[in-house]
Amino acid sequence: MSLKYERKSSGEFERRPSGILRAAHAEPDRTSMQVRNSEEPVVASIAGDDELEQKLLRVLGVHVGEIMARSVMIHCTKMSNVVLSKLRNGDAERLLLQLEKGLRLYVDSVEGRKTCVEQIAALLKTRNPSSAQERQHVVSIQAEIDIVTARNIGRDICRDLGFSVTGQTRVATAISELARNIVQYTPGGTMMLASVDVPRPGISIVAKDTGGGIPHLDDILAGSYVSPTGMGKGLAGTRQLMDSFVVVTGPTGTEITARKYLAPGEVRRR
Amino acid sequence: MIADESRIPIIKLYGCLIVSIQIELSDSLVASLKDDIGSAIERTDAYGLLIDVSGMQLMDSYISRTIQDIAQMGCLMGVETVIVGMSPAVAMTLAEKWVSCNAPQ
Repeated sequence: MSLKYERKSSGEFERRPSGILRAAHAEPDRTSMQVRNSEEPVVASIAGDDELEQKLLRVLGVHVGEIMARSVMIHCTKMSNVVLSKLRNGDAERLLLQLEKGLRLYVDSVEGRKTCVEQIAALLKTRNPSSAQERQHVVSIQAEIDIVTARNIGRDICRDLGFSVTGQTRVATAISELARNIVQYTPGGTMMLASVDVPRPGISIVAKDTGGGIPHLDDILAGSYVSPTGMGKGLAGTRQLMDSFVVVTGPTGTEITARKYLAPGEVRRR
Repeated sequence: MIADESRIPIIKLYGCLIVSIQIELSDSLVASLKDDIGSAIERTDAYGLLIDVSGMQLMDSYISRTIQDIAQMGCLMGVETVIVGMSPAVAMTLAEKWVSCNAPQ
């Protein structure tokens, strides 16, 4: 496993901290060329964002040692399915969860793990501003934790748009309801959160799932249906909270599109 | 980030159980809170339950239903439940969604 080669701007390869690699380097040039060529694609896919990865590795290295840091990082990015060069919203959280687990092997003290994870979280946060400009997020909704992720992203979008705190809460609540429906009643789905400009600035929520459709839709939307788990008014309530609310449901899945626009004169109060 | 193992502390002060929710609730946390409060009421001889929701920025149907259940459960177990500190944003959202607030005070 030679992931230690970093191409410097000069085109040369440097940094070979592990013993194995030093040995490889000591061999004739031809061998090291081979190693380099075969490993290069892996480096590109895992360590696309050199700068961020270097920073993360430095932090990790302080806690677990330099060599372990790499293996922890590779394992965690793989397990959480995160590509550092294409960090999207939600990725950071998943990566941090995975890191926390991974660190248990190497760092005994709870305090030590916490500090390490916090430092890494801070680093990832500096990288995240790109997500604010991106303004469109697709969150996969499979488990409970995704509900929290989705509503936090929604809240962030609303805050960036200038929604008031009440407005942010409204949208976050609506997202929470829709996401919970997906988690509770279907095998899974996605939620697309995006900001829109026409006809007015606002947020658009598209929740798609592959479940068997919503039975008694009319009753539910009329508010006369009572579910065993919630108030039975999740969907009806969500419709109340949003400006537009369209449900398309069938035996192969459901797609709910909801929008909330910035009210004229609505200003952000933080 | 939400740790799976985290729990919300329940403090007994004189005859009152005080539960202060200061973090974002995940569904499993709400469910375990319900159980924890139930057993706390059973263990102690409390006559009051105070739920402080000032730290909550969001209450959706599941969370509000569970809090309502907790109040109902407390009522059956002889404990009076009071919910305090609801932020105006949360209250407004709840009011727009569901008109009733009969069970908890």
